[in-house]
Amino acid sequence: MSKCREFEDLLPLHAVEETSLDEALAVEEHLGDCSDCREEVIVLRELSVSLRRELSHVPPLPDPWLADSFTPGGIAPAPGLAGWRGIALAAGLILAGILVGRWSMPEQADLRTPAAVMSTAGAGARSLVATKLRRPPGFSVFSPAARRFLSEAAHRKEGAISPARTQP
Amino acid sequence: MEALLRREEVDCLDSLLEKYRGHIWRLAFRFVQDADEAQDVTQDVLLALYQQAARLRPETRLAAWLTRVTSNAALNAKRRRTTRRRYHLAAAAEPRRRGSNPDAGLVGTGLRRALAALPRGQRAAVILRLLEEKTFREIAETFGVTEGTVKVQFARGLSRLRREMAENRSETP
Repeated sequence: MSKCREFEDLLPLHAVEETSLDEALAVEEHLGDCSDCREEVIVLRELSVSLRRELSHVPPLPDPWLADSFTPGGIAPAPGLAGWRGIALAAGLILAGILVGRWSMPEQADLRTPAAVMSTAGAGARSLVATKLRRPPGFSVFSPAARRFLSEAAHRKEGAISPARTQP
Repeated sequence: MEALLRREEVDCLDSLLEKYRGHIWRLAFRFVQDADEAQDVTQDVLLALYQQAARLRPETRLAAWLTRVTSNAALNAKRRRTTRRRYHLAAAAEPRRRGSNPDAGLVGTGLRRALAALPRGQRAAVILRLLEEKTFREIAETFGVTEGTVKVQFARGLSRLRREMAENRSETP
């Protein structure tokens, strides 16, 4: 049993074929004498295969600009928005569009409407704002990280990317 | 900043984000196994890239930097998940939302739960080695630790997962 403890950390590596040649030979020698560890290696190997099979699936990256990616019941980017949601939405669109758009906005951009701002803002800004539009009720329009980012950006001068620190 | 953009063969920061968006999303999802949460992590990492791109050292390997930042953001996402669960209680009876992992099998669910319960280092080592298929050397370089440390974390993580799965199986009637 004490011999088995020596191989405790090597068995999982052996199961996924990540031992060096010397280590592999030592493990194989031990496995010849120990049915418990032999069983353990088989189970660990099956587990690594299961992990890959069950958890490898990744859905495609959602594009917040495809209309059908907005969840039912969420805040839709359509006319008819009213009350604080509409106000917060418009303010967020304009603020993010103007601030982030400094890096990517053409010189003669038309900023008269939120839609125009968003059409000229960078993909990052659009993604940031659009993602936040899908929040269920009860969430603020922007996450704390996004608010901090926008607040720092508001203090930034002439489009420099390094954020200015707010005064305490 | 110009050197970074030139090395990455893009002409602006937005193109840089576009280039790595998929990589960040995939890695985030592998860690959190939830589409909404992976979107939040992706957004936070894109913000971090916006904020820090100009300050990255010229020799920084961006892919490795993003892997580290995304892994850390995803590992820290647990606290946010607890808050969100409160808001989603009312929606609990609704059908599973689009975009979530369609695999509702017991094995997959058990594995997800057991993986989420692993300590940070073990979880990162298992996910990056088995799901992202990074080598131990790559993982070690990404996190600035030795290859031996990553191997030990991986071995202990996989052993712990095995124990958890065995316990779950014995508890299931």
